[in-house]
Amino acid sequence: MSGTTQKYKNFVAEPMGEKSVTELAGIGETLGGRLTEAGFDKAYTVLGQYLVLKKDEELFKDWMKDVCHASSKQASDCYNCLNDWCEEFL
Amino acid sequence: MSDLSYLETISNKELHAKCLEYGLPNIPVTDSSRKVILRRLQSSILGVPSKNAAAATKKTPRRETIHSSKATPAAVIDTSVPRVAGKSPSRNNNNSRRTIGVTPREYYPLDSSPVRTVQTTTTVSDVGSQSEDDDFYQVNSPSVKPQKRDDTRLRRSVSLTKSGVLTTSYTREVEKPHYEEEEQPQSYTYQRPQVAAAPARTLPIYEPRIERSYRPDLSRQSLTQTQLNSTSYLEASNEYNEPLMQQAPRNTFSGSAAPFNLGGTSSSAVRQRQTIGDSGFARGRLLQPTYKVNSLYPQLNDFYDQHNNTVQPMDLDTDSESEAEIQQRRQHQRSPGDSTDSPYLSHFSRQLDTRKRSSPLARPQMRSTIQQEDPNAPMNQFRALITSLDRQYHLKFYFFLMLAVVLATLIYVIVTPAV
Repeated sequence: MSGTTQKYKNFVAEPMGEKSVTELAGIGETLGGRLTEAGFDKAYTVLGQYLVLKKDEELFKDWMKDVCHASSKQASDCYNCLNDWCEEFL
Repeated sequence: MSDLSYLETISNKELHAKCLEYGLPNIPVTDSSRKVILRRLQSSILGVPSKNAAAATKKTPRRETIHSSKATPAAVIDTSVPRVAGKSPSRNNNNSRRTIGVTPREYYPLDSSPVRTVQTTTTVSDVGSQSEDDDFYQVNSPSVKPQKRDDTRLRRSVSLTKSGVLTTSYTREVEKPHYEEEEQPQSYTYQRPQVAAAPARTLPIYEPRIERSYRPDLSRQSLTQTQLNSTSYLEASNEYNEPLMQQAPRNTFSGSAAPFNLGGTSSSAVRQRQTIGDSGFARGRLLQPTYKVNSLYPQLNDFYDQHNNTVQPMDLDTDSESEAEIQQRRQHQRSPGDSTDSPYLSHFSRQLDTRKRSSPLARPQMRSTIQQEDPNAPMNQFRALITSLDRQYHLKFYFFLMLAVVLATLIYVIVTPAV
């Protein structure tokens, strides 16, 4: 599981608040820069997109691939991160 | 393909309407999500067959998406199509458990063959696998139930693997113990009427029946001594009070089958009753487990006859009661010369014995009977305790060590003044 990473644990452990998009699991500097260029500079904006897509995994992953050219692993890590965060805090 | 190009030009609202028209989930179409939704709509319009494998597990689609992402952009549409059709029903559920529960419904109509293979492949599961059964059992309950109808006693745990192959574990519920439990009580109850039919009223009739009833008991009950004790107890109880017979033997047999402690306690209790009671025949029956040594019986019998001359009719019966004499022989060995209760004695002779017991000479007899039972158990327990302690703590070693030290000190003390 990708959720076992420390980055995942840190993000899911607390409310995201004003965390940067790079705080999300699976999103590093490169993908973060691309997302910021696309207007998704904060983690909650990605969360908003995730919610707009109604938590649909495939749609969200495709969106990730489309926006920031994320790999499937990066997209799934980000999805799992947001999904588990929502289960915890939403 | 003209439809696909048409979709790219329509507005978000129209695209949303199209999505609803083709049965896609009601997801708002925004500028950010337009492309994604457009792809799904195109795939649904084209009717690309769904990949069940992709919908089954999350891991398999990852690999597929890797290939699709590396492929040409034209191929991306083709690869995304199966995802949409396959996962759209399952992904609506947030919980992973639900997705597992939903996917089998999609599988089994397609994958009826693995279900059949499950029945043919009988993999006997260990006890530990049963704990896992509960996890998978709820998930697959709708599809698995028809299988269970075939074999009622078989528990099957169906677990879904990545490849969709079902692995079943057959755990037959304990059938052998049932047979064992059934056989023992049947055998006991079957033998019981023979014993119960043997009254203590007439001695010549009684003794051969004891032997008959006892020998089959040995053949079947020779496995454990506790069972022997239980049987002997029952037979004895038959003699004491016949109304209690019918209830008591059942209880004792059931107790002898399940716990071993009951047999020992029951036997001891009966022996105490016999010492108190007048019926010597019961004691002979009780002592039957030690029946093997018969050679010493006539000696004891003669010995009793010397003290009590009224016993002569009883002497004919003594052949079967030699077991009782074995204990009595032990009593005599411990307290020779003392006349104790013998199964051969009639009521009159026992009255004489009781009168003798009232005398101070008879008291040691009572003590001897008590000492027979009591010292054996505590001494054995004490010995067992010592042996166990020796094994654990090596008490003997320390004991001898202490002795050696003491002896050394003594020798030293003795030697030093001399020096």
